[in-house]
Amino acid sequence: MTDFFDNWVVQVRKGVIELCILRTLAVRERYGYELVKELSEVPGLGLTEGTLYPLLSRLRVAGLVSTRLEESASGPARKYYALTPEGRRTLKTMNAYIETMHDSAQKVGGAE
Amino acid sequence: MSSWTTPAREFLEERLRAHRRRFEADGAEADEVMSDLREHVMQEAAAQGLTVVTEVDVRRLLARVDPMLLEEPAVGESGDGTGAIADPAPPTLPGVPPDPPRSRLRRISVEVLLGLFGVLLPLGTIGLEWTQRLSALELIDPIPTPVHGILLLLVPAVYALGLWFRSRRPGSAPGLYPWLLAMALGVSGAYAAAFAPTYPFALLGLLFFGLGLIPLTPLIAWIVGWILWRRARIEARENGHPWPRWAWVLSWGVVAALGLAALPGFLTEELIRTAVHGDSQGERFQAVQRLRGWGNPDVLLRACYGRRVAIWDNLLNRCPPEAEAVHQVYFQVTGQPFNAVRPPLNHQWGVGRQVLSDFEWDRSLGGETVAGQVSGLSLRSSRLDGQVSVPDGWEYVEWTLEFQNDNDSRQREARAEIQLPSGGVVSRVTLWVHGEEREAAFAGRGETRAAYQQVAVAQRRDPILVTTSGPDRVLMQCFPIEPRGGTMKVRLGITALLLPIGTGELQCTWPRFTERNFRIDPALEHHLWLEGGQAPARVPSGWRAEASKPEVLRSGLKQSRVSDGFDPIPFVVDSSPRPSAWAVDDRSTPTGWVRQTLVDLPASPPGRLAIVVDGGVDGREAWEAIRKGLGASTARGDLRIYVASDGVHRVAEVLEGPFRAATNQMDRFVWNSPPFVGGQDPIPALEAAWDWVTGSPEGQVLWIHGPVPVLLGDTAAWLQSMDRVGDRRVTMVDFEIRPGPNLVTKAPGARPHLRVWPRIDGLEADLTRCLDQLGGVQGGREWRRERVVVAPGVETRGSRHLVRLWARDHILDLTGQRRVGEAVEWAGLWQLVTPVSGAVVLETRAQYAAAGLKPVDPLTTPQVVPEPQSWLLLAAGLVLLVWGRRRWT
Repeated sequence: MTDFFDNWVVQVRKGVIELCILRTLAVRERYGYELVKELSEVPGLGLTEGTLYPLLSRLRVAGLVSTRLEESASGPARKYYALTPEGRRTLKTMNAYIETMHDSAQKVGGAE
Repeated sequence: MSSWTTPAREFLEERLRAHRRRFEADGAEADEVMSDLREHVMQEAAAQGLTVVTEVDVRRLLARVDPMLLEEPAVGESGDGTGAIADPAPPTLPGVPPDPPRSRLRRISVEVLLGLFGVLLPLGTIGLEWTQRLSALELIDPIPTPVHGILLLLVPAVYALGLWFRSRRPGSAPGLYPWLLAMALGVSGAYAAAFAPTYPFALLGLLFFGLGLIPLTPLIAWIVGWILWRRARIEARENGHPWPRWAWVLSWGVVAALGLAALPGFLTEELIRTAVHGDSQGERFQAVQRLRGWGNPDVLLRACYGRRVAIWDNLLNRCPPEAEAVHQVYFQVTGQPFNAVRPPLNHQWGVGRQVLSDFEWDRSLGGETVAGQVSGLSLRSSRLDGQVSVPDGWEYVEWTLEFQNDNDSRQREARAEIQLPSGGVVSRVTLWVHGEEREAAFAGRGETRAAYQQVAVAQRRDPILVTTSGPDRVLMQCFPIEPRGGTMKVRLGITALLLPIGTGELQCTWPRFTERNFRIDPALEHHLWLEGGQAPARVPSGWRAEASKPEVLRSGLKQSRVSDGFDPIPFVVDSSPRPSAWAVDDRSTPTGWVRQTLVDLPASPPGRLAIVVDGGVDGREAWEAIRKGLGASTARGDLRIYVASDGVHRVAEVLEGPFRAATNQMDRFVWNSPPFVGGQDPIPALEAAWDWVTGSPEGQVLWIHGPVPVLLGDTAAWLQSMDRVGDRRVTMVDFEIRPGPNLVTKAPGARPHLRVWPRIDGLEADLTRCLDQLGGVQGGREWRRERVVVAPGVETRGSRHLVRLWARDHILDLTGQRRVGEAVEWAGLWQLVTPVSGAVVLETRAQYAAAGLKPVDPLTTPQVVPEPQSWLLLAAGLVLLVWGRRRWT
C-alpha cells in the first residue's frame, strides 16, 4: 500500500510541480532561491531544491521559461526565471487540462 | 560573507558530479543544474550566517536542499558511480571549483585584511616601539628584555606563517603550528590586557583624529589570532589532523608568565604609591618594609626621576607620587641617596637607550641641593695644590676642577657638595672666563645666590656660586656648561687647620666630594701636589717625594682608589716649645694680631656618653667596629647605646661601669632583632640620646651614621632641645661611616653644639680613636686662636691664613649671637664662605654692578705657588724676549 501510494505521489507531483512553477512565474519573474522558498511552502508539493533546478533547466530547454542574470547588492549575481510567451500559452493549456481532469476525476465514481 | 574550506568545496562538487547523469536523464542541462545548485547552497550558507563553511556544513545543507544528493545515484545514472561516463572538466581549476567572482574577491579581501592587521600592523608597531620607544616613555615598556622582543616578533611571524600555509593549501600547516599559534595568541592577549586602560583614549583618538591605532595593536592582533586559531582548528578537523587538546593551556600559560614577569614592577609602583600617599603611618611603613623585601630597584629609581608607569593612573584618575617624595622612599628602602647611583636608562634594552635625565630639564638648576646626576656631565680633570705650614698649623689647598658636558643639546649645571678639611673655610673662588681667571665677590649668602640665579638661570652666562652646606661643607655650583663637549674650569681655595693626631703628629687632610651631580670616570687621575716646610713623617702609598726637595710630594691618584677621599699626609710636630704663631690682621680696624696655639686636652672622665648608631645598611659595618672598640676600651662611666631602626631602640646601658660591659647587651640586641636595613630616620634616637646626656653637665652624643639625604621626620623638637640646653657643655659628635649628604647637620640650630669627627683612617681605627677620646681614655690636642689689639711684641710674620681661620670662628660666634650684619662684614673683609656669606663669580662688570657686588682684588687672594703653566709662560716669554733682542741687534 505504502509503496504504491509513494510511487503514485511521485508521478502526480512531477506534473503538478511543473504546473506550479509555471503558475508562480506567471505572476512575476523570480530568482531560483526565491522560487524554491515560495514553492517549498506549498503543502503536499514536497519540493526540494534538488527537484526544482533540474525542472527549471528542463523548462528552459523546452523554451517555456527564460533566464537572465542580475547583479545583487547582497551577494553573487541572481539568475531570474520568467515565463516565455510559449510558456504562457502552454500554462493556459495546462490549466485548462488540469481543471478538466480534476472535474472528471471528481465525477468518476464518488469521493469517499 | 562565508569562507569555504577546500574539503567543503570538494565534497559539494563531488556530490554534484555524482548526480550529473540524473540531471541529464531529467532532460535538464547538467552544467546549469549543477551551477544553480552550487549557487543555492552558497546562498543557504550565507543566509545561515556561516563565516566558515566546512564539509560538515555542506552535508547538512545538502540534506536539506536535496537528500538524494547525499546518496549514491543508481548504477548507470552517474558516470562517477559506474565509471562508464567520464566527468566533464570542471569549470576552471581541477578539483576545486572557482569561487564566484564576488565571493572570491571577498575571500581575498579577508586574507589581505588578516595579513594587514595580523602581520604588518604588529610588525610596524614593534618597529616603531623599538626605534622611538613611545610607549616605553609614556605608558609601559613593551620590550623590557630580549625575551619580550622575541615573543612580540613571534606574533606576526606565526600569523604570516599561518596565512602562507593557507594560501598554499588549507590545513597544510605542520603539527607544531597550533602550539606556535597558541603562544602568539597568549602574547597578544597579555599585551592587549596590559594596554587595556588606553583603549578608550585610543578609540577617541581614532574617531576624532584618525590616530591611536598603535595602542590598539595588541587587541587587533589578538582578534586576528583568534580568527586564525578557529579556522586552523576547523581545517585540522576536516583534514583529519589532530588538534592538540591542551594548546589553549599554553596560550594562557604565556599570558600568566608575562603577567608574572610584570608583577614585581607593577606591585612596586603600587607600594611606592602607598609609601607616599598611604592613609596612616602604619600603612606607609608597611609599604616601605615590603619594598625593602621585594621591590624592584629599577622601578624605584626611575620613579625618583619622575618616570613611572602611569597607564593605570589615567584610568583610575590618580595622581602619581611626586619625585621628591619618592626620593625619601628610595632612601628608606635602599639606605642610600638616589643620586648616589647612576641614573636609570629610558628603557632597559634595545636601541635608543639614553640616561633618563636626558628627557628632563634639570629641576634643581640654581637650587640649594645637588639632586640627581645628569647625563653627559663629567669631571674632566682634577688637580689639588696644597701648601702646609707645620709650625703654624695651617694648610691651604687649591682644588682646580674642570667639567665637561657631552650632552647633545642641554646646558648643564655642575653641582657638588664638598667636605672641607677639618675646621676649613673656602677663602678663594676662581672661574676661568674666556681663558682668564676671574676672582669671586664675597657677600651675604642671599645676595650671592640671587646674583647667581639672575646670571645663571635667567641670563645663562658664566657664574659660579659657593655657599656653605652644613658644618665644614660647601655647595659649589657653576652654570652653564655648554653641550657637545663644552667645559668649565673653576678653582676653590680652602684654608684649614692641620689636624692634631696624638701628641706628636699633625695631618694635612684634603677636601672630598660628599655628593655630586656629575660622573667621575674611575680612570680619571687626580693630580696632587703638596709643599710643606718639612718632609712628611711618612709618604703614603701612591705618593712620591721629589728627589731634590723631600718636602714636596706629588701623586696621581685614580678615582677608583680615592672614592672615600685622599689619604692624609702626616707631619711630625715639634712639641717643645708648643707650636704658636702670630699673624697681623691689617684689614680690620683697629689693626689686631691673631695668635694660634696648639693646646693639650687632658684625658678627663666624661659626662654621660650616648652612642646613636644608624640602623640602616651602613650601620651594619660600624656595629662590629663599635663592639670591638668598646670591648677593648678601658673607659668607665655612664653609657647608653641607641639604634635608630624604624624607631628608637635602647640597646645597652652602663651606669658607672666599664664601657665594655655594653658589648653583651649589643650582642643580645642583634640576636633578637637584626636591624641595619634600608635608610633610617635618626631624629627620634638623637632626641632620646640628647635628652639623656643633658642630664649631666658635659654630656656627649656620638652619632655614627651613613648618608642622610632626606629628613624623614620632624627635627623641630630636637633642635629646640639643643637651643635650650643653657650653659651646659653638651656636644654632639658627628661621625660619618662613609661620605654622603647629611641634612640633619645642615640645620642651623644644631651647629653650636656640633663637632665633626674627621675621618682620616679606616672605620675601626677612627672609631677606636674617637671612643677613646670621648671615653676619657686619651687626651688630645687642639688649635686655639685669639686676637689682640695690643702689639704682642714678638715676631708676627705668620700667614694671613691664621687670621682667616680666626675670622671664621669669629663669624660663627657672631652668627650665634644673631649679629648677622657684622658677621657678613667680616666675611667680606676676609673673603670667606661661611654660613652667612657666599662667593660668586660673574662674567662681566655690568653683572657685578647690577647685583651690587664687587669682585675681590686678585692681589688679596691667597695663593699656593705660581701654577706650572704660569712658569712655562714666563719662561717662554723670556726666551722670546732674548730671541727678539738678538734679532734686533
